Amino acid sequence: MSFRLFLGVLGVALAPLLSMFTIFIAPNSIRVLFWIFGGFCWLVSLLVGSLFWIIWYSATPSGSALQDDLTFAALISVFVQEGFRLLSLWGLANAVQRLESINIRGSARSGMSGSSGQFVLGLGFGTISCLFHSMNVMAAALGPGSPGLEIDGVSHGSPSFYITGAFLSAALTFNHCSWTVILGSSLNKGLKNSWHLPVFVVIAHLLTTGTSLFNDQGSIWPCMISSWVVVIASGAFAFREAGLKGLASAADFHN
Amino acid sequence: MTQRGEDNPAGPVGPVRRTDVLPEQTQTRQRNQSNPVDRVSESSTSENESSSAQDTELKYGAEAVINLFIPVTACMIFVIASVQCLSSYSGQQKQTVSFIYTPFHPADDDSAGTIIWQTVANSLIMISVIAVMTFVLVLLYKYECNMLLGGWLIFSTMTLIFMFGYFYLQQILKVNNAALDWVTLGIVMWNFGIVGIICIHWKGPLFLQQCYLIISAALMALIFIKMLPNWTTWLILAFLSIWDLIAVLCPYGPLNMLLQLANDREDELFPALIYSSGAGIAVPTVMVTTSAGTFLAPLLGMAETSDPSPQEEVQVRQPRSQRSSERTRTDERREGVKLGLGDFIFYSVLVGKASQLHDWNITLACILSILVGLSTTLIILAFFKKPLPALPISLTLGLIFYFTTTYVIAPFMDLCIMKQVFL
Repeated sequence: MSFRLFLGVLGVALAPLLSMFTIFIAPNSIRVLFWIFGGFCWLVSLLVGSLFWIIWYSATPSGSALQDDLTFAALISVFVQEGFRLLSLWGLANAVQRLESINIRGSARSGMSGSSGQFVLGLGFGTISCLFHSMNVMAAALGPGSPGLEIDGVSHGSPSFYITGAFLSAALTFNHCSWTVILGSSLNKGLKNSWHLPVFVVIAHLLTTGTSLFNDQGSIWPCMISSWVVVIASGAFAFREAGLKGLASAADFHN
Repeated sequence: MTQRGEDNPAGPVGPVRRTDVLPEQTQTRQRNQSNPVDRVSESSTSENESSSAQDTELKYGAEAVINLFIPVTACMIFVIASVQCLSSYSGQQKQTVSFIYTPFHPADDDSAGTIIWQTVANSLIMISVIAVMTFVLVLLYKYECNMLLGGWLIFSTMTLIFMFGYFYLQQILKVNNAALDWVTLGIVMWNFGIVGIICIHWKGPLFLQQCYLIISAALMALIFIKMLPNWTTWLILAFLSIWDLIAVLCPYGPLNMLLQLANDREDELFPALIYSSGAGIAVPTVMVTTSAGTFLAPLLGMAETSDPSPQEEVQVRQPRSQRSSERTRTDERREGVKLGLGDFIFYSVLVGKASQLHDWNITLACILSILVGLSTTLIILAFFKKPLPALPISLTLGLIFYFTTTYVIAPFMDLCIMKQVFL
């Protein structure tokens, strides 16, 4: 049972990631480099976010309910992540510019121009955040023990803990890709002209993280619905921003 | 047979490319002066040299990085899988055997002062052993004691593959509670070991050679993971990155001298180099004390994974018809970036030690930061075009993220995962 559960969780959580990686990233070595760079940026942003959490944790009275409260740390972490996304997009733009100045035969060869580069970076963000949220859960799914068992009449956690976690991690991968593309295109247009795009990204991110704060209080549905609605909405937004041309250059992964 | 160590345990990444011109073109031209056919095919490639040289270099640069990522990742995954599956390496057993170079074994309940001085003493002893061995190696190479050098290297590989391979197999059998008779074991080990020795030191398919190099690096890393006390490992890794920096970048650093020597001889003995530039294994021999006694264990030094074995060059000379296409292929591989096997070992030691905590986030953070450090080193390499130490940046990043992840990120993420908060 636990092995089948593990396989299911593995498939749900990692399938989007693996399929996008094999199709878009793996054939192009430059993309692999930027993908890893994106993942590292997310890791650094998580580090900064958790430093804020440590401060909160040591400032609040120990043993109180306030100390275990993640609201402050989660919301700060959202802003830190968006800040790092902006920084890494800026770094990406500079790097791609350099690549293109070297690359005489046109930027298509590097496979990093425009929104395809932003997508690669976003997938890096999404990959590492998805893995960080799901790997330990998957390892725990292999057993021993499983949540949802009733011991002395007390239910220990929700029985659907693993599968909801897997679906939410998968949504996270999609969301990071879309948000990076949206923020990147806003950066290209100039932040002043397209201020609504970063605002949308921050609100969408706050919405998914904010609703996930209610997960341990019984109902998983607010978070599940809002996450997947945000996936569809930001996906559509990102598609509009990238346009058909961006899509074509993203698909041009040969060379 | 001449063995050359061009690198060292804490080996540098050596750029094969020299200054402005692409090495593929220079070297092939020198090598094939007498072949009009080849020169024709070459002129077509070097025709738009000025316009596409940097373009090619960029692409080869990125590809070279990926070609290093794959073996490094493979080695790390092998080590992680072993640490996770084999209890002997997972650090939960009481340590009964250890290196003679790390004489102190602080217990968990020792006072902080004791742990600190014992750790520092262990690491200093270990680093000085590595330093002395590197100097010995350079001296041997300088005075062309090829027999001694070759013997040393073959002996090291042999002990590594046979002894540690046997130990590893034994652990697998133990964990699976499987029985195996001695005859089968003998046949399996003999074939495994002899094929490995032949592949690494003489000839064999490139892929097989690379596999054996990765396996031997991983086995060595596993031995380190098993033998070294926890804090000693971290301090040794920190010291090693400093030592690597000194050895490669200082004008009289041993590795710098070694590389210069190799470079000088390359110019003098160009044809001979083609035959000797295969995998060069070198390095410190480490004494290991076990309950059974003392034996010599080799600390496998470096080899170039992206280097094809020299025989391929020979084979390439024979079939004339397929020659040009094959030659470009081998040349491409030959001109890859070199990474010392020592780097493989110590990257894997870091990641393996991290995975002993059974927290996948820490392992992942370490892998990620090592890969980022490696690519940063290679980007710097593209600018400076001289041999660079590969350990400092990667290990520094790896250590920083090991400790921050363990003490800051992991508690936070654990809480988030428990409450299913998605950041």
